[in-house]
Amino acid sequence: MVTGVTMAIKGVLKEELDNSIRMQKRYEEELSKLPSGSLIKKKIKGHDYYYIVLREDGNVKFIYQGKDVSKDLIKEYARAKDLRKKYRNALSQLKKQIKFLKGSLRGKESI
Amino acid sequence: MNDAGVLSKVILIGSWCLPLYKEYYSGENAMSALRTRDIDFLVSQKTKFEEKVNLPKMLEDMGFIEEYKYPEGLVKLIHPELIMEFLVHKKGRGSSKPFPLPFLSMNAQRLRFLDLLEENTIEVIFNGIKIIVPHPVNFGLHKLIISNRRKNEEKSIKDLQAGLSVLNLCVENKEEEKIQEVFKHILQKQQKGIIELLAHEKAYKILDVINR
Repeated sequence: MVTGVTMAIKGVLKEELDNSIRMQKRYEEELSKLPSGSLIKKKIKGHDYYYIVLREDGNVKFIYQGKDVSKDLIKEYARAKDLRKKYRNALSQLKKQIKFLKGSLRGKESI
Repeated sequence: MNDAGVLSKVILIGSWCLPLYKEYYSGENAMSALRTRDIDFLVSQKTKFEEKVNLPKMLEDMGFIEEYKYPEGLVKLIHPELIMEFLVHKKGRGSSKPFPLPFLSMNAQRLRFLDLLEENTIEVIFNGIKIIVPHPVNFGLHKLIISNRRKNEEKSIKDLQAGLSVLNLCVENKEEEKIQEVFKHILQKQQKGIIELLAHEKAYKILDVINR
């Protein structure tokens, strides 16, 4: 017999599963908006050169940016690096939540 | 949010209030704290913010992102552990368009019956932070009113259980007069609905206070 408490718990779990799935989609969208790669500075023969490092088809690619880049670009890539880490952590957390919630709801009954 | 002066201007509502009521009544009663990640803040339309706070930007550092609801234009701040939303009381038939909160760089959702939560509040110190919440009596009666109106059965049961547990806690903590006072001020139609609901749930302790 499904009691009121069981129904309420099931309702919360369902709501939370929907929330996690929706959030996963949103975090993936935000992650895709961030500039790809990282900005790095290489010292070659005593001179600084800036590159954007990307991974394309399994290969690491260096895209030359010049001897000097704007402070805004450095800031933008630093922010992107920080946010990318946070969003990836969030996505990993959400994937675990989805797995757990689906499992909890499955139980003996269908979701 | 506390450092930016936001928490002192908004009222925490929803199921996150339950553990705070437990704290308010010195942990005398073990209450169910069944809740989702949704954390809702009620903002009075009269509230004045001294300084502008860009809340989405402020919480971005913690990994929060914005979620827009189309076509309404509502904004929620989401995080794997929390979903934050702002609400304002919808007067009468009112507009269903979001209510702009430029001082928080957010939009609030307009909902009915929130005046009951806004008109009587208490301050609770939780983990050293002052938080404003509706008086437990107002919270409990509001939960019963919306439980009666919910179309979603599971949500209706959740509201009912939260309402009953908080009101029972109020009765145990000698809030009888407050229950009677708040009950008298709500619409007759809602009073009738609450009485029927309490009778159906055999919540005689609360019913007895109301009928006294």
